[in-house]
Amino acid sequence: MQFFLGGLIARIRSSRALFVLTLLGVALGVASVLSIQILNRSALGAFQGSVRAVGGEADLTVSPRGPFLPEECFPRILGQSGVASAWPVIRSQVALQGKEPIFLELVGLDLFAPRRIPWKSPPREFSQALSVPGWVAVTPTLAERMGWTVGQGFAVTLGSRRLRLQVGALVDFQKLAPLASSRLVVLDIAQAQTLLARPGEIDQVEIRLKPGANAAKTADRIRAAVGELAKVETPEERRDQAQELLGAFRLNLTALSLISLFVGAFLVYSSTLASLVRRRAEFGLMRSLGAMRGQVFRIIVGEVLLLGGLGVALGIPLGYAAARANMGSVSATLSNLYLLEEVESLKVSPATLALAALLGIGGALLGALAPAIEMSRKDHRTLLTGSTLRPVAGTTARPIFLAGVLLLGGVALWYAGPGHRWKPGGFILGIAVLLALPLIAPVVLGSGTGRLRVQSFSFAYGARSLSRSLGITSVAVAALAVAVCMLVGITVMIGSFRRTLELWIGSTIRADVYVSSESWSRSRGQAGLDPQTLETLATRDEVRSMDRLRQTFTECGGRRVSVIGVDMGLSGGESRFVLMEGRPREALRRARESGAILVGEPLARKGGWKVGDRLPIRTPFGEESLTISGIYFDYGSVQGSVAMDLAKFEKMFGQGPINTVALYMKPGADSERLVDQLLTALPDRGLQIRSNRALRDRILSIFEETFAVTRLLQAMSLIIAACGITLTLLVLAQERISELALYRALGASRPQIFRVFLGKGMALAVFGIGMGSAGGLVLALILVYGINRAYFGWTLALHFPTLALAGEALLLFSAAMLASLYPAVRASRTPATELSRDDL
Amino acid sequence: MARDGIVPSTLNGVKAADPGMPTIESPPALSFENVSKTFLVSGDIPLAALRHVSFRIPQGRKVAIIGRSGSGKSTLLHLSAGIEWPTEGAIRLMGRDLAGLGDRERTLLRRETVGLVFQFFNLLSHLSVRDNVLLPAWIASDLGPAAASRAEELLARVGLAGRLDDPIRKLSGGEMQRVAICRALLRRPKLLLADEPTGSLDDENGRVVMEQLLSLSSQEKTTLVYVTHSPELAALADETWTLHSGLLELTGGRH
Repeated sequence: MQFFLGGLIARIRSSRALFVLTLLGVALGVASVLSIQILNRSALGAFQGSVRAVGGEADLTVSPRGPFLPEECFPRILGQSGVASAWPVIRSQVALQGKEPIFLELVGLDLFAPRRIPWKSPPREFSQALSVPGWVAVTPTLAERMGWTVGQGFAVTLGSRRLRLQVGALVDFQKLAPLASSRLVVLDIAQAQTLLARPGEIDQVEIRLKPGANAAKTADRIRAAVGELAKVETPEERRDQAQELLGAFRLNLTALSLISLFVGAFLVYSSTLASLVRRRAEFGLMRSLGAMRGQVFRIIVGEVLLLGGLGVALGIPLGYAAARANMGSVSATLSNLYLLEEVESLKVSPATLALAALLGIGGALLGALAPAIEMSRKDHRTLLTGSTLRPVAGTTARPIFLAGVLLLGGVALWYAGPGHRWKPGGFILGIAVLLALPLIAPVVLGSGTGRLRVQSFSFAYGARSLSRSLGITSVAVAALAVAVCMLVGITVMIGSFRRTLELWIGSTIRADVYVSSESWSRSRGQAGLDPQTLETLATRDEVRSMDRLRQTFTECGGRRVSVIGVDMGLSGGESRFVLMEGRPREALRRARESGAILVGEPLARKGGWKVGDRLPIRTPFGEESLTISGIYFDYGSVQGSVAMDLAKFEKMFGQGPINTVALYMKPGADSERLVDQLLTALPDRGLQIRSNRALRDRILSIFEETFAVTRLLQAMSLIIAACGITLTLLVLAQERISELALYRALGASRPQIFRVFLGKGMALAVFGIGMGSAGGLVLALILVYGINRAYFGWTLALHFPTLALAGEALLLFSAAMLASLYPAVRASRTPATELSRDDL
Repeated sequence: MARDGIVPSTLNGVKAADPGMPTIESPPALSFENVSKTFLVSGDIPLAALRHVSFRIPQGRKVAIIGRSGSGKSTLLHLSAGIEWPTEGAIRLMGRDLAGLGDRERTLLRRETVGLVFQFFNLLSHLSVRDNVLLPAWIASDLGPAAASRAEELLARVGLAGRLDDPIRKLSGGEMQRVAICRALLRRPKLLLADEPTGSLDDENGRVVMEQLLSLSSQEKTTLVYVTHSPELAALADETWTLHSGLLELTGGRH
């Protein structure tokens, strides 16, 4: 062991750069996987934490299939055998005003129900919870953050309504569920119904079963008692639903993070190969002295394990830091796109760490396996005579190439056939593209550089010589190609998405001023604009017409989606919907006159709905099926949406407040000025008043925020790939030291050797970027036409952001050149005295 | 004791003028003046590879250096080629003091005036026979038809005319060394340094290669300094000198 460790330390000292680069590769790979796992688990943890905080130790939850549950359900549920206790819950998100609004989740509970509430500072008199208007219990974290003390009052807004609340007690939900939101605010359910103006409505009922009661049978009895109004679920089923909801989001991020690890494994391969090449004589001597092949193999594997372990040790804090840095953007995406809880703290479980360690060490081992096996199989004579280790790829390039072509061709054929109907089919095809790149890299690089016409001992000479170290050089090209493939694919996908979104908002965001409330982005249908506000808006001189919108969430065709009601008769209002199926005027006329509906693309794709189908929609009064007259492009939600005429909406869901309005101004009126005037005229109502341009900017900024994590992952894998180029050139500088010495002996100057090495780096970059770009364009098609449609239900218009792509290519090339500088300088310093007895 | 044109440093330090000493118009191909070279072993232990060596080799002369392993033969050749620099003393290559030259000038001087032949051939396995010979022209950015025909001519002279496009691995040891000699002579160097050129060959092949080396250097009017273990091969040179523990001694007369 001492011999092993002593040798290892000596080797690390003698080649620090190689060691650092390899370590960095493993660490960054581990960090990217770990950060995404932490974020994914924390997002789910936040959801589960809040479920647990509100539901306590509930065994079953009854939730509405329509917009809400009528209060009358509760006694029927409570009366079922097997039910030990039950408590109704009503919830809404309200905005605490400030520079950046903080959203509080108002939870109305029966504070007298027999359930455990983790009071930190319990109310002196429970009766105050009922008698003091606006009495609420807040978490100690929130109280501390806001500087509140018991008895202190504060104001929040719901829609344009201002609610006065008072801190009555402190309740530490995080004791019950550590990841529960600190922004949970609890109050008595009766107070909540009054404050939220939702008399007789509840959002869910939490149930605890009697000891020994059968959950499934009790659930059946409850279903029978409440009829089609509600669904009954276990906590596990609710968690599974959240997981399913976030499935595509999580899968995308996980896939991206694994690519970093994949690229990192190439680095380990190169560095192991380099280390083995340098030490072939040592292994030859060991074999001559009687060491078995297995012993040589174990020594190599032992070193790689140690390297993997160090990479994991470095990658874990890096991953945590990356997760922390991206918590905000992931949280914003979850709440903007999925209307889920914000992520406030990170969950790092031992299982997550174990997974990261396993992947890091496993990736390192995988990278080292082929060279370790090859080295251990060589006989000692070969090792001692010093013939350069000829990597496998050099001799088996063609079979590997064929395997790559067959893999890609086979999967493409499968996808064209039955594969595209299977949801993960696009992912499989994308993975095949990424796997095919490393497989075809040796032949492409070998034939590409081998045919170069070399006129002088300079860049081209360096490039051409890559073809004879394919085992190492093709790995660097493959690593770069995979990273570039991902970069180009995702850049084109994001560019297409952004372009589509721009076109979409260009068509649909046509009004001059948009008015909603701060709380609307979270509580949607519950955030109404009061009549006085609407009156003020409608009677402004500059306003030509006002478009009103109401929104609720209900079950349509078995999925809980957003339903909106707008004035389908608004002059020129067809432009609000860009139809992918159906004729706009006709679709809107039918919606206005015969109560037809328009369905958003994600819902239509997921449910298989077409124009002419009748979509069942759950209302508080039962289920009604409406004819679909058009399907519109909808990039505002993942779950889907339904639009109908406002009059029909009110018939189906009853009277209620308008949630947002759009103002169309008379010709010549200044919208920015109107926004300023309205903000002054309507103060303290928590209103969001935005001009057309401001709203478009806001949508695009949310869009950019959504892809922030993606960009981080791209950057990580590119850094790893750039490390790969440096590493490869360092390996070549070391492996080919005798050759370099010969050049020097024959009169090659240092600048010449420098240029030769820069030529190698340039060629690695050109081939990596070229192959990656070609693969990236294919990947972009798969992402745009396959994966996005299957997982999100969005049609994106393919758009190549030429400028962004050219900028990235330039950046990549510059990075590759920079990565080549150090090895080139080192190579140019090789003295002619390094001529060895090796066969060159 | 004086010998034609070569004045070695000897143990007793005898030096003599030579009637055939180079004139101003024709400087010696190579001269050492009191050259010593010391390496530091294991970081700080000094090991003298050459000690106070002085000699002058007129142009066109063939000199053999013999000595045991570790006697400093390779160091002497490396110093001669400007690959290494002395701890003390002055080395002149075609009259130019190497000490006054920077790395770039030294490299250019080596490129233009020195040809090197190594014991282990040091051919590039990824290049063909022809391209290996053309490598110095490549490095000198002088790769034109003239260089190509010169390479073909040299290879024809050593009997490898039909092997121009063969890969190196298909050659025998003797053939490889002949390719290496052609490479060394491609740019008509004034000084050809050969470090045990037959050391990796059997006796028969070694003799043939040595004869070709001497014959080619005569035809090319190149000064030749070669290191060998073999007294028979050393006897083929004009002068034979022996290196022993870093000291150079004349041991063979002019032939």
